[in-house]
Amino acid sequence: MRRLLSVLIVGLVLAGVLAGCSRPSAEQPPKTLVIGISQEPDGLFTLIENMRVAGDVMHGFLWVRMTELDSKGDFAPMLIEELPSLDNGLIKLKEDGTMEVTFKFRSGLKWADGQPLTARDAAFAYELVSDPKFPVKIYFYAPIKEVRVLDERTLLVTYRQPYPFAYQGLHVVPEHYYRPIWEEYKARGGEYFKDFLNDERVSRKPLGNGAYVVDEWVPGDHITLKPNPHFSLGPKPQIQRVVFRVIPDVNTLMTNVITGDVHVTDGWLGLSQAQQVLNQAAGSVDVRFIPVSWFEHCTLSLDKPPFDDKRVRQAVLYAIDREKMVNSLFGGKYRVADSWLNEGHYAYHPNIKKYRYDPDKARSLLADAGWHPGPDGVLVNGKGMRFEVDLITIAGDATRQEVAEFIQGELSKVGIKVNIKPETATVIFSELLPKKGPRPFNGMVMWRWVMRLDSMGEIWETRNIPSPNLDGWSNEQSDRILAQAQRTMDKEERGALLRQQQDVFAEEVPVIPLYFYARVATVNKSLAGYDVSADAYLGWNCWSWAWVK
Amino acid sequence: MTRYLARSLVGMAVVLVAATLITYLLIEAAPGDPVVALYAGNPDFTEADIARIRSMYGLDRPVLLRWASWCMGLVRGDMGYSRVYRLPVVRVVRQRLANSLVLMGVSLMVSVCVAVPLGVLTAVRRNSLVDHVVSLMAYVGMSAPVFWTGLMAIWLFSVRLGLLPAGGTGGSGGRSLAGWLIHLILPAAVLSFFTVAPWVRYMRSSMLEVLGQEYMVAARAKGLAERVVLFKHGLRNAILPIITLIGLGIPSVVGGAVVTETVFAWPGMGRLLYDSIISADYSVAMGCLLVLCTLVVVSNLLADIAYSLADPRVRLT
Repeated sequence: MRRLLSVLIVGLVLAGVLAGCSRPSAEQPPKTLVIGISQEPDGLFTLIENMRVAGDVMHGFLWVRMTELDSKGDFAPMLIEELPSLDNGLIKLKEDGTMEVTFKFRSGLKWADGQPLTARDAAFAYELVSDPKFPVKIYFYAPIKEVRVLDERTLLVTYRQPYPFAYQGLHVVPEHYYRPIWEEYKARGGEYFKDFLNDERVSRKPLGNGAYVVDEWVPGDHITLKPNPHFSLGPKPQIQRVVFRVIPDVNTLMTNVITGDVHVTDGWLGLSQAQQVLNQAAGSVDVRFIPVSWFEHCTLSLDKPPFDDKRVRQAVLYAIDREKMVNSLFGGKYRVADSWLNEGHYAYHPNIKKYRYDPDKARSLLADAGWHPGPDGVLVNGKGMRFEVDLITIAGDATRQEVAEFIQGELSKVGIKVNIKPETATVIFSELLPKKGPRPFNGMVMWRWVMRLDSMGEIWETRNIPSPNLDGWSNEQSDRILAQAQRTMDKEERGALLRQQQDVFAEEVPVIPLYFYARVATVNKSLAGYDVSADAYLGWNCWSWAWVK
Repeated sequence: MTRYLARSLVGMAVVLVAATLITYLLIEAAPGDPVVALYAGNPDFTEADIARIRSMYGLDRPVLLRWASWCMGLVRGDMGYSRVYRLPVVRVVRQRLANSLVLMGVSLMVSVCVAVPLGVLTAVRRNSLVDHVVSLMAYVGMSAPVFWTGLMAIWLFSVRLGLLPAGGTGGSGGRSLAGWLIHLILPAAVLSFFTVAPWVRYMRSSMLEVLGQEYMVAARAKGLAERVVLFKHGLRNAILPIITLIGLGIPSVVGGAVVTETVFAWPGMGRLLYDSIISADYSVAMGCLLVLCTLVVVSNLLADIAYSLADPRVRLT
């Protein structure tokens, strides 16, 4: 026993000494770039992007699409010479109501195996997406009628109707490499597309055209990338090794940021962890707060009293001091939401009707709607119904619990009794929100939309109830404006229409808008070139990243 | 012994089949439809798509049929595909199980090596300063939440002292035994701390009971050295309940170290099981539960065998 113990102690001491030696010294910038992620991608094939983290690993690093978002929120032509537009003649509106778009590919483009990248690879991507067994639908491909390869560098895409986002989100997939694999699975039949995606060459070690290729992927631990020797879209990447390390716990992730073991995080740390990093490592780590279009709001049971009355909904909005909420709970880093689009969006509406905290107005609106204080202070209406509603939040989410308690306190001041009911995300997103027919809850459900830059209000259209219109709002005027906006090619005109729709939204209050988030990104100061933004993917310009000398 | 083993193995098989059926039904009974939840709010999805995906994963078939086909696959060594990792479940689980077994093995070894001598020591030196200090530490170990101890250990050894890495397996920094061992120290130490604490208390009380036995007096009266009295006559009898504890502890260290694994970013079984349930990756969840069930029955059997080795009066028939 004594011998065993001494062996153990010696072992521990030795290991400690080794640990001391292996720590990188501060003066010498480490060669491997470590990016911390809390979730793991479910695959790295360009056509399948169910998770934001998969997009962050793919775009720039492994795949580059025909156009990609840059840090200013604009689409930059990556594989094509210029963005098609009506002005340069590359977009043509035809008399039969269709629209033709010509894409001119750059010369000298290559895949990671050195084979040329041509317009055929874009047509092959369309062929895959159009396959009846393709498991997801890609929004940008839905309006396409036909894709034709005119020559190696020219692609002609025909849209069924004028479509303003024609140059966005179109993929390329190396036909020479993937067609044989795909055909092989297709010949076997069954759920061949699922089997194709489960192939290691497709989802785990894809052949792409980004600055890097996958070297190793250990599930639950890390993904290692090495430079693509045939990268043809910019200078050869200077950083020789990139590791995405999976660290599920945000506090552990934060510690790794502080110790310098993780150089970049984007979107994983919360506000309190960001503050910790600022307190302990402000000298070596940049902490950035990026306003994003994540729209926190409460869905209402619009189909029954009390929320079937517009005055009641407005009153609830007046009764919640949302300024105080974002200041006290989020240190002022989040912004009060007055509409469903925030500042970064081209259709942002600065002059929208704003509901600033006004409990007296709330009370008078409620009185107008027939709600008067009962014996215990809770409002009752003429039929003797008490104003008592549920507020459903995602179970285990401490932040939402705090927000829910804040709302509960505010509404109790005007006589509305709120019962907080936590539910699992699975129940909320499969049982409560996307169900047809009457709402299976009475009150409010708090959650967030992640609004896309190209969003044109599909989530508010009557035809999209119950999904994606999970909020269940149906309004004829709003529907009409949105339908018009979706066919409008001119950005300014479209913006004006979307602002008009937001006026309707602000008047009707179909949901209780709460706030827009700020995403936290941390960047070690030894890294230069990382250009973080609201909409662009993490690695959109990764080939120009470098260590600071 | 052989007969006992044969009977146990048959019993184990029955228990395992029943356990998989129960877990399968429990997963089925969990509220919410994972397919709908996954795609709700995605404007590109229609109900037809959801129906298609359900049939693609075979979710439209009756539950018992699905369980039966899962069992058939199992016989062929096929536990299905992970929806999240796009890998065969066998591969996902194997990798995590290896990590868990290493962490468990090291922490169990450390725990036994620390808890048994400390338990004996505190029993022999009852009410001494050593006893009080060790008891206090044991109570701290039993009461402090593991995530707190883990974070404090990271804060002290990684952030303040810069001695040890703040989590991970070190696999991303290239493969080296030294790098891997260094990453193992903190999680293994924290995990051991929690097993040592109750074990010391058990060992102490078990030893105290044995010390009061007449055969101890008899051994001393024979003129045996105190060391022999304590270790040959005392410890061998006192350790029996600890063997049971260790046997019961193995599965919980493998599957129940979720918090430790999370805090130290150590990709083990506990975390895999938790993640697979949260992300509705049920084929992986079933794989994990099967492995854990197997561990429970196997470690119980091992405890029985160890019992018979430590105590010649116990015969396995």
